[in-house]
Amino acid sequence: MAEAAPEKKPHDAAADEHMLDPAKLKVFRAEDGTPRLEIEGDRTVLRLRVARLFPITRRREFISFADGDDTEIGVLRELRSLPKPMRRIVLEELRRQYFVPEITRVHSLKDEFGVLYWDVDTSRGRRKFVVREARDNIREFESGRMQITDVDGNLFEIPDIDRLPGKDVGELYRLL
Amino acid sequence: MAFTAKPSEGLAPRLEGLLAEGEQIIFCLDSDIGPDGDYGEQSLILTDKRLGVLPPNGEADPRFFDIESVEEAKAEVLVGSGLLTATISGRRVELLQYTNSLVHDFTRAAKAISELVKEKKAVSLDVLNADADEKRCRKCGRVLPGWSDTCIVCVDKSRVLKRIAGYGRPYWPLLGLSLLLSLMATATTLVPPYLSGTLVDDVLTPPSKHPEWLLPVILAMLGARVVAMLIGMGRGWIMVWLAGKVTFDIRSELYQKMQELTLRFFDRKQVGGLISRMTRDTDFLYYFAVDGIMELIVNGLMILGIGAVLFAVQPLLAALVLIPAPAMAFMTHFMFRRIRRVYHRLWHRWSKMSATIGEALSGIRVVKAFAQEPRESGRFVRDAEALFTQGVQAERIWVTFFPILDLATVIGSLLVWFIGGLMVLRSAGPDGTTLGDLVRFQAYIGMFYGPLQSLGRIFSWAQRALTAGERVFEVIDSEPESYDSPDAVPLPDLKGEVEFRRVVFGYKKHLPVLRNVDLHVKPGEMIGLVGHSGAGKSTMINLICRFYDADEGEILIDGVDIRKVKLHDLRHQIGIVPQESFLFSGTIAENIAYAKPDATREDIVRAARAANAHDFIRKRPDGYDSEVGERGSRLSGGEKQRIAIARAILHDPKILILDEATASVDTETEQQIQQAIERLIRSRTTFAIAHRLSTLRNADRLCVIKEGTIAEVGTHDELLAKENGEYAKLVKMQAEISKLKAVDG
Repeated sequence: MAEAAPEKKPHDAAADEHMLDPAKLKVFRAEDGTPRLEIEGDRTVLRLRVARLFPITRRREFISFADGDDTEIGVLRELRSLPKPMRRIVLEELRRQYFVPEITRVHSLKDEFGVLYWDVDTSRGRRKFVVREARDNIREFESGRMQITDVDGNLFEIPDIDRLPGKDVGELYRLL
Repeated sequence: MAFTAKPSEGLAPRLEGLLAEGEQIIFCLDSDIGPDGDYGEQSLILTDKRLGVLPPNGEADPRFFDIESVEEAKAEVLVGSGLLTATISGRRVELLQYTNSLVHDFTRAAKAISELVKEKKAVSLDVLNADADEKRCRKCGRVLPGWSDTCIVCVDKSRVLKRIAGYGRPYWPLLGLSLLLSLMATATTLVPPYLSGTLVDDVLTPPSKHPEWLLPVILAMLGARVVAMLIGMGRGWIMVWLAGKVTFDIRSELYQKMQELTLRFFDRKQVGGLISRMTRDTDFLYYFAVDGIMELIVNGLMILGIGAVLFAVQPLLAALVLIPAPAMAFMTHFMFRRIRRVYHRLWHRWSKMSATIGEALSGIRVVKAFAQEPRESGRFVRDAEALFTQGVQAERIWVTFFPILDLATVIGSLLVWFIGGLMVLRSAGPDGTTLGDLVRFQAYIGMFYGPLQSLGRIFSWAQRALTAGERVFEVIDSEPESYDSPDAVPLPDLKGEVEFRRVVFGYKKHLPVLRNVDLHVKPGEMIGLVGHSGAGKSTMINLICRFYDADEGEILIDGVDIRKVKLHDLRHQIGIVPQESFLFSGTIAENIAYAKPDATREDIVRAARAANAHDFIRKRPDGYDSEVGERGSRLSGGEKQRIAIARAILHDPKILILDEATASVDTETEQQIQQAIERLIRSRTTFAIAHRLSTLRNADRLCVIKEGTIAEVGTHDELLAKENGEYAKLVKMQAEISKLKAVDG
């Protein structure tokens, strides 16, 4: 995917309006912990909802900001353009919004008639899960990077299958 | 049991002292995500007085809310997890998070809480826990594979082999004959090496005992070879037929079964996966049945036969040969697993590259239109490079492993030369080992290691065939649509009355698409279904066709519960003109006559005329015999649509369904189609879905569907007269859009 060209093109105008100016944003938490957003000279959003536009390929860029009814307010081009305390709040919200643990080690992987039984360490703790119909539920994005959907619809990610510690899971390719 | 009367062991002690006197617990439900957002636990507690969240010790304080202050609870959907929230004293409070594994339970919990506070109705634990998890085996808790109701781990594993074997039962005389031939072939193959020993000892070693035997012994060796060859051929002929026939039987049964399965089954499966069951998995069974079983029998007999002969000739040397045998079989087995793994990666890359090529070629117009040829080439080069690297790795393992295995065989044989040679030299007596014995040995060793290696391979082969067998039998064992349940009511002559009674339905049960739908349609009435996409219009139609059964409530056809109507009778009297007409490869005439294969040529032409299709068909060089191409690719959208209408006219249904029948055609074609439709709907109960509201002007009643419920019902004029009505809004919106279009155009 090509990066956006730095110079402005005429048809970008609409897109630009949609992009939020980080300098005008103030993200903070209300007393009860609800994330709020203040846009200087515009409005205050009582309950900020965040989402990633590219949850797999650009996690810290293109963050969509919406209000409590999930109507989009605008898109933040780069998360790092926010001051650190605000960034932390957005990251906390994203972390809750996206529960996609990264698999860091495979303790065991058993294949019983095409049903895969996993026991893994993840970025959110140890977990056992089950995947069936691997061809439909294991998606390879670029070489070695995989997203797995288990039988309950939980998501997991393997950043690089060829460098995953623990049990060798190269056998997975058989099922894809 | 997800819902309990007490929280889990770890959390229960924390509850002590927190409950007031006489406070009754309605349910506890454990989550699998802790307060910190990692995997962990916390508990939701609902009592008759309070709603509470109980985190594990030391992590946070328990939170309790007075039940009187709770207004409702909601299970919100996040990515990969869910969030239980409640509106408490007008404010939204986040209670706890849980993974998707518990979505079903927490959705029920939210409903139960809301019901308790709104209707003062407490649900019992039994109701909450009813049919909680249908994806797991009731016996062992393991996940059921795909759609099968039988747990493959809990059933006898040899069952699959028995079933594969069961398909061979009708052909047992042939199987017996084949086995007999195998025995004979093995026996004859053992003769020539034995004779070569005789040749050395009795004919060639000077002084020759029987010089006159030279020609007869050689002829005998030739004869044995010829006989072995003929027997092998005969057995091959039989086995190829037999295995092919058995696979044919399995494949036919599988295909027929797939046709009978419910649509719910197809929703859960990708077509690609099913096709691979039909082709790849049955192929595996075939290869295993032909090559695998045959190799197993022949090689097994060979090893036994040669082993026996070796021991008979010279036990000590035989032992020498056998010592490395298990190691060799094991090594082969192990190496094959490794090789297989590498090759699977290779195949994966291979199929990715094929997909890239296929996509680029079928989308070549788009590629060229946007001048993206270099990018497509680049994509291909990347894939091809990955394939190259993987291929080198795979082939290198191959070319390294086999020479080593060969060397092992050679070393075995050299060892026999050495020890055997010593024995021959030392015991040149009459009872000792002779040169002939040694020659026999060498010949037998050559025949011995080969089968041993292939046995190591067969093991993994058998495993894969078992897997393939399971996948095939899963489909065969799945519950089919009940075409003819014993108490089904025949309705050969439908009047066309349709009634929805408080129908609730969701493709996933916890996410209802239709909620409490009530609608009564008189015979011959035309109903227009209107609403935003995703509102539930197509779902209503799916239920009328009984592609799915309602979760709650009932649908009556001519006053009979649809579940009790003979499915055959029902579907025979329902006709559908879908948005995207599906044509099968074949001629136009065949496609029109799809629902009525015995239709005469006159019928077909009449239907085509009524569908305004006759004219364009007439102008084609092959007329009604024109091939439509794969999925009708040689016809335009409007042409396909009119053929679909002709198909429906010929089918002559009592209930007609028009699902966006004119959505994808230009205005002129639309007029023609509209005309055809008007002819078609006369005296039939018709359900029509259309986004272009103008096409529904003739409907007797319009039914506006909003978020799974019926928002408004009435005639076009009635609904238009309603101020702020949903339909009035939709009409206004469309009028504005067409105005915009007019300005643009």
